[in-house]
Amino acid sequence: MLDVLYQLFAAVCGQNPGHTWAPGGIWLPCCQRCTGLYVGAGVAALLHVWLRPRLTNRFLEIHGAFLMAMAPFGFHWVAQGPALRTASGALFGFAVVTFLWLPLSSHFTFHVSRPGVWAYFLILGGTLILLPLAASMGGTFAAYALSALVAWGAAALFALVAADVILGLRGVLCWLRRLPPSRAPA
Amino acid sequence: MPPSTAGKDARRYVVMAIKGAPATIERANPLALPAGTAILRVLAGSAAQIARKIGARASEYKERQIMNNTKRNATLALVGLLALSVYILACTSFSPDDTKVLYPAFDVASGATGIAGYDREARTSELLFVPVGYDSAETNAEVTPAVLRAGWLANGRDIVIAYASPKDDEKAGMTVAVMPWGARKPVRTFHVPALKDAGEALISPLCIAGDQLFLHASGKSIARLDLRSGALATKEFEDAKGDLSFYPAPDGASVFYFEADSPSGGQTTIGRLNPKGFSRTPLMVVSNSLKEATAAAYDTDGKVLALLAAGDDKPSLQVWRDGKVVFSREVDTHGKKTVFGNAILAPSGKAIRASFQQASGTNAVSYGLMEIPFSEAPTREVMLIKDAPPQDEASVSYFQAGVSHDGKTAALASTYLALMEKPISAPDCALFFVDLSDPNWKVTKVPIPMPAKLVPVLK
Repeated sequence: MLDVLYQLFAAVCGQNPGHTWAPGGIWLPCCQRCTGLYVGAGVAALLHVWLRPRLTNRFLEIHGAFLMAMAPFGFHWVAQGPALRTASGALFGFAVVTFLWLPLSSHFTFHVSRPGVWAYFLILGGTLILLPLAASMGGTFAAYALSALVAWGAAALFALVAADVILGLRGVLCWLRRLPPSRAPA
Repeated sequence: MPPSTAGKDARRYVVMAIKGAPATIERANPLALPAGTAILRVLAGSAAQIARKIGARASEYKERQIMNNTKRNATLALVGLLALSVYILACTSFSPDDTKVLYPAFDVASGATGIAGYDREARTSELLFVPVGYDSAETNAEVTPAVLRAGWLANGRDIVIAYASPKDDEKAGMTVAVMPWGARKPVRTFHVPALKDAGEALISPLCIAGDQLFLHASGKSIARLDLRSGALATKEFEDAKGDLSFYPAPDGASVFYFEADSPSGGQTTIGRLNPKGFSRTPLMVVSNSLKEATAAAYDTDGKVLALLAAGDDKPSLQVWRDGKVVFSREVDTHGKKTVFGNAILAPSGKAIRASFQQASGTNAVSYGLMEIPFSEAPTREVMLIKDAPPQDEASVSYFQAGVSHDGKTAALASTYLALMEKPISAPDCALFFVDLSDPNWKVTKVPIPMPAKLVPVLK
């Protein structure tokens, strides 16, 4: 099963062996930053469905900052180790899922409360701490669990992208229908 | 006097107006009604109109807000999608073995030669593998010299190290080790017997295709070692006209072969060997035979071949495409005798890069890296070791360049030059990095510690 994941993630990740977690001696299917990205995305997707935090301007600004934080880390302007690489990936994953979730969020009825937002950020913080710990100190079980989470995160991202594309196409179709019919050539 | 109903009427008309009964109000003739009621009706009508306008504005505002939110959401989703795409593209641009460099190094304790890994990001080196053998069963016997060559498996996680005695001993064969990088996995070693000139074969890069290592067994035969299962298969090409030699394809998935058309040479056929069935597919025929002092570079498809030959006067470069010479030039070496180690095609396909040895006066040689464009533009070179003790021209084979996948960095190790009969000095024993993207070809030198006692082994 892991071999299949290696093959799949080879298309989207460099799988640099020097930057890949190997809990229990088992290589994860993608590099440390991508592990953070996909696990973060998977957790964020679950939180958006479960807690339904209100997507206020402040909430979006914070996630915009998470998104932009990838630039100094991704371009290696900042010295970083495995834990920081993973954490920066996780923050990026949370931000990407939040932004991809936005167009879909208007299709759901929100019954949100402030504790929902607090719980969201609490779990986000927990993910940032626990993920590198599990990857560096965990054994075989951690390797399989993290691989499963990575696969789930990738699937969630794919589903969100697909849903957004469908919504976008539908919007374009509606817009085209509103246009006045073009005149037939004389 | 009957109780006034004006208040009730007014409220009723306002309620009716807001609920949408304007027709009743508009039809009412104020002159036919008592004055108070008429005024109330007119006021109610105005209030209704104002309320309708406010309602319309509110719904328009709400609609606009929804539209704005939709636009904002779509824009932010697009930003997220773009960021994700950029991230994925950026991550795949880092190739597995560009951050780590394998090179031969010394084990200071035993004096034996081993393989070390240099982490370009952490700027640290680590000795990874040291085989130590002895010449005889006697106590205090000398350490057996060994030539090692290392490469990466296609997965970028496992290292393949092949080593053999430099002595021409057919029985000794070659030992191949497969070890993981940074993970707990077993280290596998395989011994391949009966390989002709095993030590000499390690001058060329390891011929790894997928999980298989191809070794030149003898003139017309090849051995295939499965690095996972250890299965060893040999194949003799009885239909081959002359001797064969094998080289790894740049894609790491197949093998190129060079086949001389007769034992004495004449034409050389270059083709691709199917790693599974050993079938040979010719790609082009080079009409002149390849001299010994020729460095060859080729592209992934095997359609472009660049041959760099060290002549008596001036070295020459020939570029072949689909069996025809498309470019040739002489290489100006300022009148100094120059021989080449190995050559690599630049990613642009418009130049070749080669390590070289150049006579430096009458009693010294220098080593460096040269770029020769496929045009009449001047060559570019950087000297890495200056005024080393004179060596045989063949020693340049032990000073080879490797280039990162992005083509921006070249790495050269002078380890084996320290094992020559007249070794280089300790400060010259180093791993050199040449930044090819820098206009001045910036050189970074990583010293290779030398043991107290060195056994000169290579001739």
